[in-house]
Amino acid sequence: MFAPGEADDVKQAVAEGLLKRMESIRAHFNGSTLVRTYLSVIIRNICLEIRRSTGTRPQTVLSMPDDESLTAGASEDPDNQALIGEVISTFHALLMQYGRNAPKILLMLKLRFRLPVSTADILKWYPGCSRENLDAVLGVFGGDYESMPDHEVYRSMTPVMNEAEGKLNSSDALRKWTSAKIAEVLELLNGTPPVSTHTEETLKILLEDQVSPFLLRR
Amino acid sequence: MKRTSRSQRGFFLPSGHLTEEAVGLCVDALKLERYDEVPTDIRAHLEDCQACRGNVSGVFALLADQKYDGNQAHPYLDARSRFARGAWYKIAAVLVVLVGIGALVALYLSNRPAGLQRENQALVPGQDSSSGRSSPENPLTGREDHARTLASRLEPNAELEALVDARMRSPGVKVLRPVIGGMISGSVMFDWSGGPAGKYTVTIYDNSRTIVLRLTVDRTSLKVDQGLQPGLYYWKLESNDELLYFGKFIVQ
Repeated sequence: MFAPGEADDVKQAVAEGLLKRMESIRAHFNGSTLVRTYLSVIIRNICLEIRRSTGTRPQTVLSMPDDESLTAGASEDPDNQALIGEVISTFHALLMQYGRNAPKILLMLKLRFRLPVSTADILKWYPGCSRENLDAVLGVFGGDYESMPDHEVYRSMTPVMNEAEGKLNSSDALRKWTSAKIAEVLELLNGTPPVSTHTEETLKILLEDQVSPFLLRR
Repeated sequence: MKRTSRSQRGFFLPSGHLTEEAVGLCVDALKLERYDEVPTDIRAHLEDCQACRGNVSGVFALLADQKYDGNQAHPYLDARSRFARGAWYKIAAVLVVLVGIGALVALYLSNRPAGLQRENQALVPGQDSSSGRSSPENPLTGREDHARTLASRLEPNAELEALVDARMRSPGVKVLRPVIGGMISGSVMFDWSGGPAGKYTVTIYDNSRTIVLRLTVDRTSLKVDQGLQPGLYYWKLESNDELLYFGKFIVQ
């Protein structure tokens, strides 16, 4: 969020901000959260205020490890593994917040990136899916469909999506919804102000086989 | 009721967004993998509000390298569990007193031992469960089970966990649902394919290894309409005494 050279000034400003807010903290904190988490929320908000007031340009400090480092056994570097773990964990936490929409977002992300869809992907999103529809979706998206054009992907998925949601949306509406969600997920992953440089490629890596089990474990 | 009033008092700003404390609570719950225990109104707000999701995700990312100890009591999440446990004990105590009074009245009126009058709440099987039989020790009906907290019913059973997803001698069997660890509300659908021809037996266990239900069917699907209390369940699929599949699911 800040340049390394600004560290001392920021520390000073945060300390002043905390002192100013001490009364408010005392009045409003009712002990529902761990103190260290609560203080982290407050300090982050103070930092955001400092950044807004000074117009500091955000520093990109974190990026997703590249594709090769995520392949099995490629990364022996503990720092890199820790970073991957943190990104997966943050992505998982982000999806949890989408609640009922999380399975749909996961499914549509997989379709967007042409990743094979599993039975679990379908049933977590649409538990009442009929056997026929399940077989039909898996028949199209359960294997390799890398070369399928975008409009074909959404056209094939829209009838089942409409059945699940009781809607009459067009395939274009589903495409727009998916694009909007991808933009939103990337914005949340990168932070406000952006402190990471995640891209659609990052999301694809996150969703690939070795990571997606983490997302579907619950 | 109490949960809602607490939530409204401390977790929402006049603007409708989450307070810093509510954001902190969500981060705690995500770190501790207890997000389901966050008050419903907060989770519903997060589903709809990108700004608040941004705050929660931002703080979560900030604390991504911090370890949270799940064994340490949480000031809100565990306080609620304690309340819930206390409430269950109170309800159980009131039930015991009511049953005792009822028994005395019955004894007085009919001059018969009250112990002869028993509740018989059999599980009502679904459309596919007509051939089923439930265990005489069915935990669906026991008062003792009512006193168990939801938390205890969600505790994984180490021995059964080891069997989950284990397939024996029938790698061709493909279970479509329930998904391992899937959350289910209402009817539970069992659906599989690729097994041997003949009859199948589905056995459902609760997390204390008690058989909740055992049904034999001659098709590759089964619907259990009602009767499963919220909690963690394990199930196995057998044919001709051969174990085909072992899975688990959670009833909400």
